[in-house]
Amino acid sequence: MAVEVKDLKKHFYDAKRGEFLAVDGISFNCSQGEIVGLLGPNGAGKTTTLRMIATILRPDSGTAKINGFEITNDPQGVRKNLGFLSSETGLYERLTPREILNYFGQLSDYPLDKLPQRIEDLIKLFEMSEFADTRCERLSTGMKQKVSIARAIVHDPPVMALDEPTSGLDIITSQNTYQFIRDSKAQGKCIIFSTHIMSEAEKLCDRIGIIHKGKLFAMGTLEELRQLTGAHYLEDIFLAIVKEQVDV
Amino acid sequence: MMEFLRRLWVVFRKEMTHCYRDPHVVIYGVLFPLLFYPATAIVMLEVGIFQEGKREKEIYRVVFPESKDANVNAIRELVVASKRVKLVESAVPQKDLKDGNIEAFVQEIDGNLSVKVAGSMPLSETAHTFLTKLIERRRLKNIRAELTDRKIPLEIMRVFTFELKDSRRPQAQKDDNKGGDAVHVIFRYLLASVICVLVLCIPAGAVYPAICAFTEEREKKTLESTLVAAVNTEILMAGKFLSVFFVAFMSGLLNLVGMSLVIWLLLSQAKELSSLSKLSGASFQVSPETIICLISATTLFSLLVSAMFSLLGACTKSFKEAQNMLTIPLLIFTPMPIAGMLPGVLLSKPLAFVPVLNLILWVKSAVRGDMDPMLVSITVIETLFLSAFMLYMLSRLIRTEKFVLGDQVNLLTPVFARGKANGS
Repeated sequence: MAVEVKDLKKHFYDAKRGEFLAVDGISFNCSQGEIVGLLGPNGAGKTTTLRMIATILRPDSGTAKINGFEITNDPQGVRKNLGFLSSETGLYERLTPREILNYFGQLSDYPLDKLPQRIEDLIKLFEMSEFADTRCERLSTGMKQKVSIARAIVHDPPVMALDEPTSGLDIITSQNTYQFIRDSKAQGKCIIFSTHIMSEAEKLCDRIGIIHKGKLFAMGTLEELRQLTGAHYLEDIFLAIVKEQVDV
Repeated sequence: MMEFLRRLWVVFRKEMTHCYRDPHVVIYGVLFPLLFYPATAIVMLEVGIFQEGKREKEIYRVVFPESKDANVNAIRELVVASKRVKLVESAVPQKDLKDGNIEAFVQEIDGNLSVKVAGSMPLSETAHTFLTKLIERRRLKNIRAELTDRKIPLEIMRVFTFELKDSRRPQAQKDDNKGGDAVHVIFRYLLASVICVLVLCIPAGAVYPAICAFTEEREKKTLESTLVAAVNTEILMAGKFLSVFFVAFMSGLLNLVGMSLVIWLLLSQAKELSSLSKLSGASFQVSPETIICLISATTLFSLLVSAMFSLLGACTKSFKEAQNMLTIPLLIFTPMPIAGMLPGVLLSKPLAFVPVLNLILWVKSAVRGDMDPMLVSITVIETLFLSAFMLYMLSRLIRTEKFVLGDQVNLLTPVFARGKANGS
């Protein structure tokens, strides 16, 4: 397994809410060449889960392994094997896409002698030649998204954690992002993908995890979830699972 | 170790590139120190020359009665020969002075000359200066002639000018106080005031790099991607802090260069001024000890300011908030140079523990030549300790979850933080 997540828990303290569990014992796994989607509304715990997997946050309990590297014991090993992309993540405005790729490439353990070629390949792959040397503050949202994706994979990681990668993007940029995810899957990458857009999960994911209030209620292929709930559309499946669990 | 240094260099280089593309940094850190002082000095000198030219056209109506004393008459002839004085007769000079019919009235009382002017009249002040200068010049000429006749070295004239004698300051007397005349005192004050200007300028140079390195990372939400980029928080913090320190220090050095140019310019003018007394033949030299002290104080102050601003910058979430927050230390620093330049305020045991002020007083003591090694050690250790403490707080802060998640943090967050990010 490229990714193994076991019983991850995380609580936060908020002045209004006091202490609350953002992630409550989530477990799942993901193999190479597979896209696993975490589907849930805002505040469900998707981003916190991905942040823990990406070693940005430390879990209160539980663990996760990325390509065999444990997130709390060997965060550097995890980071070498993981590409993390979030819709919220910004770019350094006064650097050019080429400089950003060079910066993150140099910080990773990607061989330095091969880095210039890797950057050129990414610029070509994402059709960034025209703006590769333009400061990011002058780029459009779509251009920035291309740079963000290229930045996340500059060190050619086998695992990718994508946190709502199409949030706030127009349809064309979203389609390009979908294509990139599909291409990555074809290359044998393991992709964990969080979204609250049902159609996105339906289109892209091999397996979908229904997450709500920090808990993972169900995980399976679309067909398995249909059988489980008796509903056809993902929206109905989601509501059926969440309602059942909340009622219980 | 090499890998640590390589990554540190990568972070530092990126921060410098990002920072120097911010126009604020270029304006306050580079252009301001390089252009402001020379431009100000040139403008001041030009204004001075213009005023002098204007004054040369002024004609002063002066009442200067003839005297029985040959010396007084010699001075009177000198005044008559001047193109700027028109001698007038007056029966009631005091009244004419009051009515504005004359600008000055030279009176001989028991062989002494006194120049009387009406302070409220427009030309009275310049007329007074002009006449005093003429009289003084003649007096010195007489003294010099008499000394030459008696074959006494002219050096003895220095006895008649004031000299700051202090048994604790042998170095100052040796290096800076050769003549002990006013120009040397001014020179010493200029030197001591350099650090005061730096205390105001270095923070101005460090504000925007600190905002670029820490606040902007949170405001623009670029921190997450940096933390996932296989770089640990120690390298990240060190690289960012070094960039702030480097810009602050370079800004300090550029300020020094700018001010040196100005001092050189002023002294080149001062030589002309000092021809009045013909005593400033001694060269204006700064001792290597003073230079080392000045650069050390600049380095230490840059370190302290960089650490403080990095910590404050990391506590803020937006550019505006950072500007407001960083204004507070700027306001605290402002009175320090004024306090440091007050006569009688010297580096003492209690003052050696007052941050920033101790650095100013250290430089002041170096210029005066009465540095106390123990007090200097206290100053250096205290500044280093404060800087290290703030960097420690910063390193704790950027490991907290609140910082990573871009939440509101305050200065006590590193002490009472609940969650710790997985940054190692």
